[in-house]
Amino acid sequence: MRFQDRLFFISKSSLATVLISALPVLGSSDAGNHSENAKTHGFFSYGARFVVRYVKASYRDDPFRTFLELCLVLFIVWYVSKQKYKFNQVDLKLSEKDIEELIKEWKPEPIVPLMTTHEKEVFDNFPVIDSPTGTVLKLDNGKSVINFVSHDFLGLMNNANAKEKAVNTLRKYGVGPCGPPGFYGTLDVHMELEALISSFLKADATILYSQAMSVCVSVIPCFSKRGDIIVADDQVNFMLQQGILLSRSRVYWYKHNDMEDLKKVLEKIDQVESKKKGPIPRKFIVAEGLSMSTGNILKLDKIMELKKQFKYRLILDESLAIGAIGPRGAGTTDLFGISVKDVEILIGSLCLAFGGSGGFCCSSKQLIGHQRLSGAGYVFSAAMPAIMAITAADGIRRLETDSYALLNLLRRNIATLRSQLGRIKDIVIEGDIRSPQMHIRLTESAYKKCISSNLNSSNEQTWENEDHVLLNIVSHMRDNGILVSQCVYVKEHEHNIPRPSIRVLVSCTHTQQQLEKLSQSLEEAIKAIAK
Amino acid sequence: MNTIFKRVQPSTVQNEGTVNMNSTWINLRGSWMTNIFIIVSFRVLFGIIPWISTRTAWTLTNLGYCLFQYIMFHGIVGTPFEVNQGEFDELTMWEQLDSGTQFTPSKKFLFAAPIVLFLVSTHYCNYDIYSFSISLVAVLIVLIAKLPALHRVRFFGINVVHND
Repeated sequence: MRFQDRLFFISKSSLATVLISALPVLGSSDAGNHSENAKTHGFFSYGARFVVRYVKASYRDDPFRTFLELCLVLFIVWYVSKQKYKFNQVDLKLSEKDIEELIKEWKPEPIVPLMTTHEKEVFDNFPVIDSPTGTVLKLDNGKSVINFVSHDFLGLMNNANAKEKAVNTLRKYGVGPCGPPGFYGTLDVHMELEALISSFLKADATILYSQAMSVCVSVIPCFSKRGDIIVADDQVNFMLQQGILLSRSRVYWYKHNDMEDLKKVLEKIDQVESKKKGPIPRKFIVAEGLSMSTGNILKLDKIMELKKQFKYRLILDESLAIGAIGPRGAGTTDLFGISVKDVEILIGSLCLAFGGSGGFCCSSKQLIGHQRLSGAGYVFSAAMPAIMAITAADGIRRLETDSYALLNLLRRNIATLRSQLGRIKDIVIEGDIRSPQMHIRLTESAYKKCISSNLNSSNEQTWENEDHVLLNIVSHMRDNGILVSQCVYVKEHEHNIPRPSIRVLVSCTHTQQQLEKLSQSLEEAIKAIAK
Repeated sequence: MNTIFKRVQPSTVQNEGTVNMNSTWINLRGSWMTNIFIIVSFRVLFGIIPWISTRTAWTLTNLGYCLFQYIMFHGIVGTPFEVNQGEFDELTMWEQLDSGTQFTPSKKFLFAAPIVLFLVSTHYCNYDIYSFSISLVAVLIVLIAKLPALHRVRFFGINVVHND
């Protein structure tokens, strides 16, 4: 069939060529009028002749090859005739009926999701403070309580000198800087504070962020991109977790503060990565100097060794550690005698020990310069108010000049409280002995006792039940004039939620009597709950 | 780990606003003409070398163009630019074209060009069986790589960036 078709086509087109070739002869009689016509016909005739010649020449008694060529031509025709479309594109066409039905079926979710009984309990037990911060607070029910929930380890927040300075700064600069740092927001006080932090930590350069929360969330995605590798401690704080999530990197977790496990993970990654072609990804280890969720101090010397051995960069969060540990109070690096310049990226906070607000990141000049252009929290949010910068700077200066006295007092208080709490049989204190933040849990037997006497419905030792017991202890202690708090987590957003615990934060402003009162009241509370 | 067949996962975030500088030039005015110019210059280049016959010159032109297309569109992965946190880092140029939309005019042109060149070149080779089959294989490789069904698909670990 196809062959005959082709023959027919050939005979037809050859007829056409004969006709066309005859045209110039006809046109010669009145050449002036038809010269343009003749040209176009000439073009067509040439095209037709070309096609004919091509088809004639190409057939050559080889039907298979001709078929193959035809297929290729059809392939072009198929591809060219297709409508353009995008993958994952859904074109839904709904009739009016469908739309009405869908609207009827739709039930709006509550704007604020309903709280579970446990969440409600936690919410109802929030204390409301009705006084300025300090060692002794006044609650809204008129009771005064001793404050064990503030990160103000060195008592830098309630300092008359700093307050006076803050008022003067407010008169000079006003409240807000009215713009992001790169856009009229930078003031002289910010630059002074950056220089001060650099000199205090002996770092190359520093960048200020206006919120402590936004430091981790900006710094990690700023350097670690899609396809890069992050190896992180599995109990890093919530902000680091969010930063890791936002970076879209590949994440490997190692067991909390377990350097053996870290080494295993690094070796495993090395094995997999060595087989791959293509560009080498950036690799980071993310760790916390003084862990917020456990109170353990990072084994920085070990991690520096591993980092060098496996060629990783270290992102170290020193938010809690700076102002709390180390001979100068400069954090874990200070404690281990390691230069901050050896840590690639160091994150710190000004709103915990220094009584200001915001956070900072120390690293080399190049990395800081990169953050000034692409650190989301630096570029897109308003700069820190001048008052906060002045207060934080004052806190750092006081720590620099007075570090010996302040830190000794803090260490003494930590040791006192540890020894007093150590006498209570029913509790376990988690965290390093040098840490001013302690996580207190009940022993297994005490939990069982408390749960069976408090919850009639279920005797299971679930997370909620443990937290319920601790909540009762906390509210009992509050009634006796001690303000402590159980740790509150957003459960569904935590990678590895720690066991419930009571968090006690020691400050150097606490007196011996106040510390004694804490341990007494804790013991009493446990006794009362376990009844 | 399946080494024979693998699909590159699409990115979770669809960012319509991002402009991929690596592939937008394909839609510029001169890019089709450039393709034709490259074919012609290949033919001229091979034609002026004295000891190469017309037959070989045409076959080399076809192979050269197929190789050019393969390297440009299927051989190099990723972009030299930082686009949307590395959204295109695992994709070939062909997959980056028009943000993955299929059957766009540029794609149609680039699909048809090697076929037409193949038909013309084999014709001028007088359908010599060797040059014909070599050219056919080259054209088929270039065409198969362009099929919409093989979008983001990797065979035999070719162009695989991340293996997990």
